[in-house]
Amino acid sequence: MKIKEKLASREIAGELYIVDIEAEILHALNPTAAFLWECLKKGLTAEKAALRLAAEFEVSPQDAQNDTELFIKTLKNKGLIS
Amino acid sequence: MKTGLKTGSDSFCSHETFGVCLKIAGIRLGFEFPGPNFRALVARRYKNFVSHGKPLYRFLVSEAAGRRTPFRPVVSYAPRSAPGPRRWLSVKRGDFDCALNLKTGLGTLKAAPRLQTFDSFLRSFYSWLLPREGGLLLHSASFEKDGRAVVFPGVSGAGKSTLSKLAAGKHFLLSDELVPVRKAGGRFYAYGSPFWGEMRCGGENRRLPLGGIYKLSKSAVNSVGKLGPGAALELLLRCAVNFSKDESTAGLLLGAASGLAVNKIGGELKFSKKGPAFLKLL
Repeated sequence: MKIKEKLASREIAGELYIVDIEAEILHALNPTAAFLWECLKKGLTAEKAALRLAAEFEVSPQDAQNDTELFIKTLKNKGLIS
Repeated sequence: MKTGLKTGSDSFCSHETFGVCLKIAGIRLGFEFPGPNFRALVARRYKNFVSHGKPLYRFLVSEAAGRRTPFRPVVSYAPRSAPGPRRWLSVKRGDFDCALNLKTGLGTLKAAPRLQTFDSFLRSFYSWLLPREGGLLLHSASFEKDGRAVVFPGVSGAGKSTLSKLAAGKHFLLSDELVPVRKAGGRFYAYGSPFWGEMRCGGENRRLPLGGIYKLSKSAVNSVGKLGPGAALELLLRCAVNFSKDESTAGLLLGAASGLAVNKIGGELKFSKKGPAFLKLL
């Protein structure tokens, strides 16, 4: 997974805001999505990110995996990862 | 008379040459014109912003023909292949072409000798400069209320001009179009601006502590509602003037806008254009 270049981000009130500089679009990530985003930025695989999500937010591993897959699909659709 | 670019601040801004020093948002820029006519145009247009101090950047201006196409300015750094780490800044449009040496603070500006061209250059340049000085140039109207500036960001059609007309005469207007906002000494300030709608002249060189920022909505009834930090950030970024695709500029803009979104949002003002009664809500 490769994160798009030319992004700027800032956390406000628990949410992470990411500016896609070339597309001139602002994305808002809730705390769960922000947590996953940071995992992906660190180079974690989807599986490992899901495990960390389950541990951090006390959700079942299956729910965490589903959420992670959905989030990654959304990021790909938005062009933020490839 | 000398027309070369001066290195001494006093002589640069002296009226014995064709130099003019402008102070906008507390930041001085110096310009050395090739002759008295262009200089006189600029000095008259920005008379409330002429200053006599050391400019942060200085430009040797030369007159050049040019059209306003492409209309959108481009602010960029010298190609990465060029020697030196980001030494040159380029601010360019069809009718102006500026190259600034960021190391020395000296630059050249080739521009059509028209006020609209010069004004557009200034707007473009300050949109790059302000994020580097803890602020941003906001598409907004602003006026004084109880000794503080209230700022109303909005794109065209949001109601900036209508609101400004309703407030005019009762409150000091900082601008109805573009307002510089900066953090200085730990406080946010809004500055009187020479940039007004339809390129009109105006503005006074004053700064006011920033009281609050309000999203504008036209309505039949006046009211003030809440505006969350996310919505505020989106509004501020949409209304921040920026012609650069550079990562550092985006990061600085996001930082300045975040600070404002967290600390200075008053809410969403729904106002009726029937009269100035909404002023009591602020």
